[in-house]
Amino acid sequence: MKKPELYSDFYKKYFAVVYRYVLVRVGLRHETEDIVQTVFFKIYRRLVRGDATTKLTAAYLFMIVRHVLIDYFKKHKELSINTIGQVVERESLDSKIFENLDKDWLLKLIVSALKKLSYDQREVIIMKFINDLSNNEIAKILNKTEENIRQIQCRAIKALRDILIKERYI
Amino acid sequence: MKKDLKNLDAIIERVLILLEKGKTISEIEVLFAKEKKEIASILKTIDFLVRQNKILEPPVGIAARILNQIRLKANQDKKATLGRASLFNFLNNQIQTLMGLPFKVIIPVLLVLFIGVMFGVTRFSDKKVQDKVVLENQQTAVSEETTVSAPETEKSIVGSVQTSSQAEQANEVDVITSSILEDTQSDVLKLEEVDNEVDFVKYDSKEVDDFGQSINENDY
Repeated sequence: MKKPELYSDFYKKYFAVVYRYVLVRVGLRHETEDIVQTVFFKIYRRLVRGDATTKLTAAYLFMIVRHVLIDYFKKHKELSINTIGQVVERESLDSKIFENLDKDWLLKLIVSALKKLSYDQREVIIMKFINDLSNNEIAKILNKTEENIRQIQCRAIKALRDILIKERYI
Repeated sequence: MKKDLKNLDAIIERVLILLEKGKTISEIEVLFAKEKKEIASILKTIDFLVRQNKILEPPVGIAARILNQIRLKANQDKKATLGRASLFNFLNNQIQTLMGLPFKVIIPVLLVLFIGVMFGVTRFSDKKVQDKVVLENQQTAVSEETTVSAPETEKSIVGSVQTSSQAEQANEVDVITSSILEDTQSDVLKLEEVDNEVDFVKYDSKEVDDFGQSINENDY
């Protein structure tokens, strides 16, 4: 398969996955766009250079996403939940106030809840429920066994349930 | 309590398996009618997560917009690097080509070994030459030391040869050799004086002998 076709297929397959993953980690839509663009541009450059042709997999993609996110958090430090709330409020006032209000409130809730989970639990929850990846795919990305992934999911759901009870969502 | 927790873990695992198989949350609720109380909060949590999938969906047209921006960036990148040979790209391509070869392990190992051996050989030969030069210097220093007779001049020669630079050393050596020559000349002069004195003493004793022979003591 030629490089442009390879890139195009890869982009179509994983664009939404990367977008959701970044949005749920960052919590800001306009920042998410920039980060997603950076991720796919990095992949494009590596593909052009010739060092990504054999590695265009989900694991490779998430490795780059994580690196870009680390750079982003280093630059911006982690924004507090209040700040995210303010930005979300400002964004929602600009357009379609009522339509977006529920969405933004839920986004704020999931971002704050996921921050309270451990790294592995957060990764597994995002990949499994938000990105619809199979246990096999998650295991490959996180370099763990499927059994490990199942156990982490179990613990993560219990932890998340407790957080949601505290937040009075449930 | 422990039994309850284990039971809850087992229920969550079963729920997750059913979700993987494509069952909906309402279908799972029906399947676990007996454990409705324990499972309610878990299913609500899962439902909350599944709902996020729709909330976090990227807006329409954003994928095309980002792709366009990537294309613009890529064109700028191309223009910026146009006509410039990249050392990184060259080396990267070489490594990629090397990695494509069947002997991708042996060749780099041999290459490293070859570089190591070459380095060792050049280093060893350099050391040998250095050792030779040091040995020659030591030999010349020893020969210079032996030519000097007085102990004070010996010390000054050795000290000056060890401390000063080559040009300074050459100058110092000239000065020292001229002083040595002066010293030896004065020594020769002294020796000549001593010889003269000895000759004079010899001459005196001969005169006394002649005088003794010429005078007869019995005459007095």
